Order: sequence, then C-alpha cells, then structure tokens
Amino acid sequence: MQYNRIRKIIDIEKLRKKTVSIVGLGSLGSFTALLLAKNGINLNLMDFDRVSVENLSSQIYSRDDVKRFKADALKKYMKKLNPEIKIKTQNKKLDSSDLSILDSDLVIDCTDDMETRFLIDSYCYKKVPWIHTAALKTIGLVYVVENSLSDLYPSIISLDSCDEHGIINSTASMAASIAATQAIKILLNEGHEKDLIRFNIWNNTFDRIRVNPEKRKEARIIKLCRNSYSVSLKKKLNLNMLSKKYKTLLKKDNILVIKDKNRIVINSNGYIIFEDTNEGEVKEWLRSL
Amino acid sequence: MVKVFVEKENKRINLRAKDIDEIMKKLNINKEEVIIVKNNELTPRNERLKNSDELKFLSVISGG
Repeated sequence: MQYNRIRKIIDIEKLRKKTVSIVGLGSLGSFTALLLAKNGINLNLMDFDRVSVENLSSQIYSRDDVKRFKADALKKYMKKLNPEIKIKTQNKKLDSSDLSILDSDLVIDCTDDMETRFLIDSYCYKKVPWIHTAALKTIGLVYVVENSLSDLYPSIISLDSCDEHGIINSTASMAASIAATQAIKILLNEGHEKDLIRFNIWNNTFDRIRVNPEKRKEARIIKLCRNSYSVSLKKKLNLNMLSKKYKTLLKKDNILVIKDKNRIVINSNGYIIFEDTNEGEVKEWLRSL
Repeated sequence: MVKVFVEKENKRINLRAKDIDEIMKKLNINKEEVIIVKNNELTPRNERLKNSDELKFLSVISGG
C-alpha cells in the first residue's frame, strides 16, 4: 500500500533489494536518506558527528536528537518512517584502513571534506557507482562520477564549510532530491545524468555542465588537506605484485592498502591516495612503479 | 572577445585573450577556488580561446 503511488513510476520491488551508502549526514545526507528510505531503499549511514542545535534549521533532526550521533538519530527517524528497510550505521569518519564499509550498490558522498571524497573516489573508481554532492549557501552541485573526481577538481582545493558560510535548507533539499533521483535511476539501470548539475536556488539558475575526462591527458597529483595526495594514472596496477613488495594493511577486490613510509591506498584501475606525505615523496614513489 | 562570468563577484565582462590562463591572471582568479566552464563544458586552464567563447569561473563549493 505505502508504495502504490511510487510503483506507478518505478520498480519498487527491485529498489527494495538495494542498499545505498551515504557518507556524511549533515544537510545533504539527512535529506537524501529521508528520500531514499521512503522509496524502500536500505541504507548504510556514516557520520562521526553528533547533532548540535546549529544543525536543526538545515538538517532534518529534531531537538530531541541533540548530542546524539547523527547516524543513530537518523536510523531511529528512518525506522519510524519506513520500518521495512534495513539500516546499518557507522558513527565514525571514513578511514583508508576500513574502506570496505562502503560495500553497497551505490555510494553517495554528502560529506564536506575533500579528503573523504577522494577516499570514496579511490574505492569506487571504475567499480562502484557513486554520486558526488556539495552545497553551500544557496548553491548546490550533484555529479554522478563517471570516471574520477579529479576530472572536476584538478588542483588544490580551497575549502568552504557550511559552518562558516551557512546553507539554507532548500539548497540542501533540492540537491538531495536531484541526488536521490539519480540514485534511483542508477539502481534501476534506467540511465543517469552524465552532466554536472549545478544550481543557485536563490537566483533560480540551473546549469548542466559537460564533463569530458578525455580532456585530461596527463596523470594528476592533487594535494588534499592534511598532506594527503590523490593521483590518477592512466594505467592498471598489479596489486599482487605491490602487496608482495610492501606491508599490506588491506586487500579486497581491486583495493590494496599498504604501508610504505606512510599509508597508501591503491585502486588497481590506476588510482592512488597517499596519506601524510609530500609531493616529492609521491613523485619518487610513482617513479618506482 | 570572450564573454566572461566570475561567479564570486557576480561580474560579467568581455575580454580579449589567447587562453584561459591569461584571463585568470588579468582578473586575479585563484586556480584553487574555481571550476572553469567554457561553452558549458568543464575545461582545463591551458585551453585556447576563440572569439565568442563563453567562459564561467564558478566557485568550488565543498559544504555538505
């Protein structure tokens, strides 16, 4: 009964077998979770943060949730909205040693942290579909990542946070609506938006921007925050060989996490994250490949 | 002339330049703060320009 109106448009039985990981449960993540839960989609909710009073105007939490972990508070609320769905929670920050907690049919990045976004990118690269979202003030952005996040962000990124600059809840709910719709289309193999969608809800402007990964010819080294670097090479990497050469912290499917001087996350499709290092060391390591 | 829009300053301006890098220097735009869109396509900084191109410097947003 509860799905009767949705069922006229989408294959709800197929959706109910799917699980989506949402990383970051602030304004974007909490609205996205709400929309997916109401469509019967199982959720894997991740956030290290707790609800604060400042969150209440732009996120879906209530006063009773203040001081609770966002993932736990959201699970309780989603279970009330739709008791049929399965929900897993992680009250911690995504870490390179534990990327397999992202295992699901689709990952949606709703975080405000570029380093975490690139970690998601390294895990999902050419393997798991994922959606990048961002929002600030009255501007929202949604992109189904076709290749790599480095196609969007080619250099060091200046970070603006909602804590500092604010966000209005209609920005978040609109971005969440676009992301949730794209998620459903991906899960149902209905074809998804290839362009980067970017809007300003205050000015009523809506841009669809083409992204052409072929324009990127060379390997890119991108400095993330906290002295981490991401590199996407245009070649496959032999994980078996690398795991013999270095101390292995994790090896799962096409992901290898090793410890050299510092921790390195390697996706066999040619995507690498270097943690706590400098550009010289990154280049030296790449030459040794 | 290239039609240029800088979102951060909500500024629209027509400029003559051979490539995007030259415009960024002229307008003092920090490469780390923008994504560059030429004729509705994401574009690298070294891309050459021709008359009637439309260029947008949109602010990188990272909030969630």
